[in-house]
Amino acid sequence: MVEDYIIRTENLKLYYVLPRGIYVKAVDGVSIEVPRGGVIGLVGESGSGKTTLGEGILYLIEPPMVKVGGKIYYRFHGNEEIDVESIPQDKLEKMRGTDIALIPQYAMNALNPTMKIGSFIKDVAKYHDRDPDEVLKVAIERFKMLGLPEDVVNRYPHELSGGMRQRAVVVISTLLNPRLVVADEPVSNLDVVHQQVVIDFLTDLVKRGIVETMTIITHDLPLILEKSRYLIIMYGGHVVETGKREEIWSEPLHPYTKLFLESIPPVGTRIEEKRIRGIPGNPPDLRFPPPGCRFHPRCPFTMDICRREEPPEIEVAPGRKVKCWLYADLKKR
Amino acid sequence: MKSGLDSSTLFKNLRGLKDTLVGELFMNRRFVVGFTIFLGLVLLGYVGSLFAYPDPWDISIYTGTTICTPEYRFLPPSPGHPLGTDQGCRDIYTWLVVGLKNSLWIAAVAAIISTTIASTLGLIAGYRGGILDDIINFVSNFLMVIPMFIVLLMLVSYVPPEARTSLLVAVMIGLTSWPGPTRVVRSMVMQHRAADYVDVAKLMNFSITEIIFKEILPNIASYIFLIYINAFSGAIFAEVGIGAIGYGPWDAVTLGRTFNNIIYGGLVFVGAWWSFVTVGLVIVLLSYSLLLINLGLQHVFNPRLKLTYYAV
Amino acid sequence: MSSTPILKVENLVKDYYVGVVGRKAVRALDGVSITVNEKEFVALVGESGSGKTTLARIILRLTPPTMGKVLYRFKNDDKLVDVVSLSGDTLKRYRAEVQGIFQDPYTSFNPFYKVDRALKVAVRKFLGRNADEDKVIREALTAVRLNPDEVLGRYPHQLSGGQLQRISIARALIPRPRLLIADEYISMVDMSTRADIVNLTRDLIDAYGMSIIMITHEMSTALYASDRTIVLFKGMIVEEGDTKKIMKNPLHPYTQLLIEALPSIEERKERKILAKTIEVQRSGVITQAVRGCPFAPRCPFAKSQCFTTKPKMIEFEKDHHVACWLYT
Repeated sequence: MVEDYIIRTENLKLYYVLPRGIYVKAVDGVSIEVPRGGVIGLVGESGSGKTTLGEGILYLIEPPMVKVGGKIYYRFHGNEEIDVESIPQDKLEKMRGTDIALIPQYAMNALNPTMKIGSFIKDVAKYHDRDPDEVLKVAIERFKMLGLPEDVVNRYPHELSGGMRQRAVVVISTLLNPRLVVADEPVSNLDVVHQQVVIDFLTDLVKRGIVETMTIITHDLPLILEKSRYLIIMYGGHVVETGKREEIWSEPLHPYTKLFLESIPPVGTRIEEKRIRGIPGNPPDLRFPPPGCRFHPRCPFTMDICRREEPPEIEVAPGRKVKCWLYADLKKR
Repeated sequence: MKSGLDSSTLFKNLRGLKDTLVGELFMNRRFVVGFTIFLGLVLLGYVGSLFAYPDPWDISIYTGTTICTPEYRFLPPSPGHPLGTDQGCRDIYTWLVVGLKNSLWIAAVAAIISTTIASTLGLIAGYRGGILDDIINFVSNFLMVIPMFIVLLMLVSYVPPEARTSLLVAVMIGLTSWPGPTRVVRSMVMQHRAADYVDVAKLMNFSITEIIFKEILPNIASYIFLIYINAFSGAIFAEVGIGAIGYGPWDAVTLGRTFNNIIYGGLVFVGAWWSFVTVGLVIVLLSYSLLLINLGLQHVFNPRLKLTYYAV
Repeated sequence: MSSTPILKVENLVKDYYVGVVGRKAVRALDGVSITVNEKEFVALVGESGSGKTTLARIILRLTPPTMGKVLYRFKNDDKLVDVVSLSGDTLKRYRAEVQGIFQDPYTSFNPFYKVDRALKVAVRKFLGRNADEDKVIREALTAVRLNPDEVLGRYPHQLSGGQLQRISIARALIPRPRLLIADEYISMVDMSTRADIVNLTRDLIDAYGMSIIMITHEMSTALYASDRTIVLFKGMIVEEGDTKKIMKNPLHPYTQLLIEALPSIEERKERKILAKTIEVQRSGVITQAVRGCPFAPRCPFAKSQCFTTKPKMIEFEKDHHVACWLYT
């Protein structure tokens, strides 16, 4: 168990209900703790369930997503855990924006097309009982930090490029200095330079104490390894490994993590000298996941038991977990 | 970099949608109820006509003469006249079922006309773009603002009764209902035109006609079907509307005409409730079933589209 | 093997007109010239707005240029021919020799049809009706390291992005092209599977004797696999040359910036140029230098000359050119 955490899930199951009774098992029994403070990475590729988990921990569960089982606990203040479902709806809504905030994926489409950016910001301020002009000033400052010109506030969303809108949304979502921010793929459709700029902006908010915990959901393992302090790695609806960033890059436990890291060519490697290998195969179909370990069809270390039984979650050290049969003996200790 | 979500995930799920579409439609309660009622009415019209008197105007079959005499007027329901007779000694049942049959036919034809126009113009405007697109857009936007029912009424009223055939009325209804659907087709075509697979088709030496018919058309076919259903609905209402006021076709009996006859023929006045209640009921059921079908179709199509926007 | 290049783009200019009334011209490509030789793996690196996709589309004859030439040497020919005005049979011949793959695997396939159809179309259109369709298709799929039985008969939405991109490659290979333009073809594929597709590309170049222009926004792939790298910024080539030379000694500040910006797993990198670029951005309003180097407003090393005159491409060393006033 992570020492100081702000959110804990217990065997959380979030499925999408498709017509004709088919379920997409996006989050299928996930028990994690999101540590308090710093940049936390929630990493996964297509079909991992990371976005669903991100929405789930913020309790943004709407049809066709349903919570099929498990629990979510909040521990924002002090040491007491509160079951999210016991928090009254209106209190939960008040928390959104001021205590917790989500920067959704493809957020660049989330701006109201009929309002100028500036007017929208003022509206947001008023809704949360803040001084609109003050908030607007802060917004302009932060826009500049991300390389957006000041007159952005006088523009309509469609007048800005996709990348500019993305950056604008990042600023607006964090404007009220929420304690916990969950950013879903905040930089995936930006070019490499702006990726660094935006990620640095987000990590800067944490460094300056404006935001306490920043959870970044991404598929870019190398990027988040560099910027975060703790990682939660997902594959096929399960959490396969968690740990501090140094632990994960120096000694990745789960084969998926190992192979993923090995698939990125370090700068300076040439193809004629050393062939980098990717992970063969394809991610599982979450409607019909494979039996046993979800990674076994692609894993070079598959054992017989991996094909039959779902591996247990083994905590090799506090906060350092891996879900793999290779480490099963450790559990017995 | 392109934002892949909208088209990509949409396309990812679009095909899956087709596979279970029909099955899913029939699992939707609204659609099933509406479809059943509608089917029942179609049967009433076509099969019912088999049991009707051959000519709605010919009263000699049961009166012996062509002149209407009081003893055959406003008759209550009887074995020979399930819904009685009207002010002109005509069998109301015959008028109802034949009218229903003809109205359905007119609506079907009108819908084909407006859907074909909308699809053609929408395809041209959406694919070609440029001046042609600007013109078609301008015209359809302009026409959409004008209440087409009034225009329709104006058009039919100019035509003298003798020339007002069912076909002509169907054509007029068709000609006054294409602007809305055209815009829908146009935007769908534009979405698909921007898709990479159209570029791939160009790389494969496809001609423009090949691209329009083999690449784009199949993808919008199911939506064109939806448009047709909508057009059919609208056409029924249009026909009943103009027919009720007396501007329907003159060469055949239609539902609107029957309705008009009942109101203006005095049947209400004499209290022949079996006539106007049944005819009214048929019209109401027709509208209701079409509404349910529409709702069912929408419910099946739209949440599918909403589903495509989830990212896992 | 001829020493004449197979593709020579000369001073390509492309303007787009924005706005309905009072149309403004946006210059996507500002006099771009590139050369591609036989069996060469060329990486074209640029961010969005650099004009890379425009260049790809012009070479693929999907968009006409405003000015400039695209010269191509057909198989078994010596001369370079301007392809911009090709039509009819010569255009069909061009399409058989110059193929393309696009970024989004899911929109590259018509969702209405099974993926088999895309391959069948390629066979029918380029190999004729007498070709043994099944055999060609199976061979093509095996060449891209897919199991035909796993992917044939499926609809695009039933396959993963990686599988679809491989099928796209198979489709593009059927006419046996000499030049393949891959526009960001791995950016929408899972990161952990990209290396295999790049390795495959390298092997296909050797096996099929073709050249490829790989368009990407990421330097890492370019540095790993390409023979030559071309760096594009706002419609202008700022550096180009042998990849190993550029890797050892990136000259242009923008190239340096691109390499700096790459994530480094091992330690927290020092990003001097990036820091300076951000500073420059934050300090003032970003004006586009109408004349002069397009990178000047963001460049930490910009001199006054950079804002007024466009730098010319000079040869810094053999197989390594740069367009920057720092080196003239």
